[in-house]
Amino acid sequence: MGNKKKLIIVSIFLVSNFLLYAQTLSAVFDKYSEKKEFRYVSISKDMINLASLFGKEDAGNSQMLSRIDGMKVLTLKAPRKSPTAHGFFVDIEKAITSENPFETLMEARDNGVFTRVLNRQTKNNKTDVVIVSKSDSVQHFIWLNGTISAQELQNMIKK
Amino acid sequence: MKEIDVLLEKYENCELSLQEEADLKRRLLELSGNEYTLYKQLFNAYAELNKSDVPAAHVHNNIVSKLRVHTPISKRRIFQYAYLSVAASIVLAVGFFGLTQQKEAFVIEQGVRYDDMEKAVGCADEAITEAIAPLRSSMQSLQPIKGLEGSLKPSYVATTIKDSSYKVRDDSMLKSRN
Repeated sequence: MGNKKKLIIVSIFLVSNFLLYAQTLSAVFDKYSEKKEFRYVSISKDMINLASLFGKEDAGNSQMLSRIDGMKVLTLKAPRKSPTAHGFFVDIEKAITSENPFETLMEARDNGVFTRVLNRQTKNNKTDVVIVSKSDSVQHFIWLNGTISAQELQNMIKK
Repeated sequence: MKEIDVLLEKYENCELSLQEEADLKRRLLELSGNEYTLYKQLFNAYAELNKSDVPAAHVHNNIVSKLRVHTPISKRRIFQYAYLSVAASIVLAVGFFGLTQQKEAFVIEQGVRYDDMEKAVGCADEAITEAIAPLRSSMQSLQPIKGLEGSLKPSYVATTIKDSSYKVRDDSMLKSRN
């Protein structure tokens, strides 16, 4: 095989590897974002900053919001045991246990709602935080990316 | 870079004067070993050309096609193109990644997209509030535990912090305990 071909194959491999790193979670959002049963929300960094400017959040929360690079939310209004929800949770589980898996920060069950908060460190000291919430009527999958500490998350939840 | 390489590069770019070309030819023919063999052949072929009836274009094409495949300079060019293609792929990938990170806030509901920041923020807020509700209530139920640490301390330790006048008494209490 010629050197040129080898170089091209290696470069394609490197580039695809670079893209795949961020794709596992994105793949879940891409798959379900346009399905009719789901509601998909995407807010970019600049828009989060704008929202925090106009919102009523206190200084601590605004500071944390300014360090979020993006937020995506998938909501399914269907019972937890429905086939759609089952497939959805299987895909989420695959995404959060794939390469560079997440660690569970907190989990709680109250009034039939079960919530898990997980995080992982990504490149450039960024953090991926996901919140998976299951209930009998509505399911949520939330993904926040930015420089968010566990303490800040805890404070956000308390307020 | 050797002087001969400089001359060859200039030769490739048609920048040589007649004097320099003669110099290059002389240097190449003086070289021993297999170095620059094809260039030697090229210059020999051009020298032969003056003596035979072979068309000049035929000789030129024949030699140049060999040069393109085998000579170090041609190899260098192939590598340059390969590196360029790698660089182009990386630029494309980064560009693609950059494009996907658009500045926007939107909601897709029932397959319909709404580019509405207020709606997007409202929906996200609603989802987060619903999702973290069990965590919030769990944390609230843990609040009383915060004061528990102080309550569990023996009274003589707790009082020493508040008032130095008690310290003497506390110390005596400690001594008497010991």
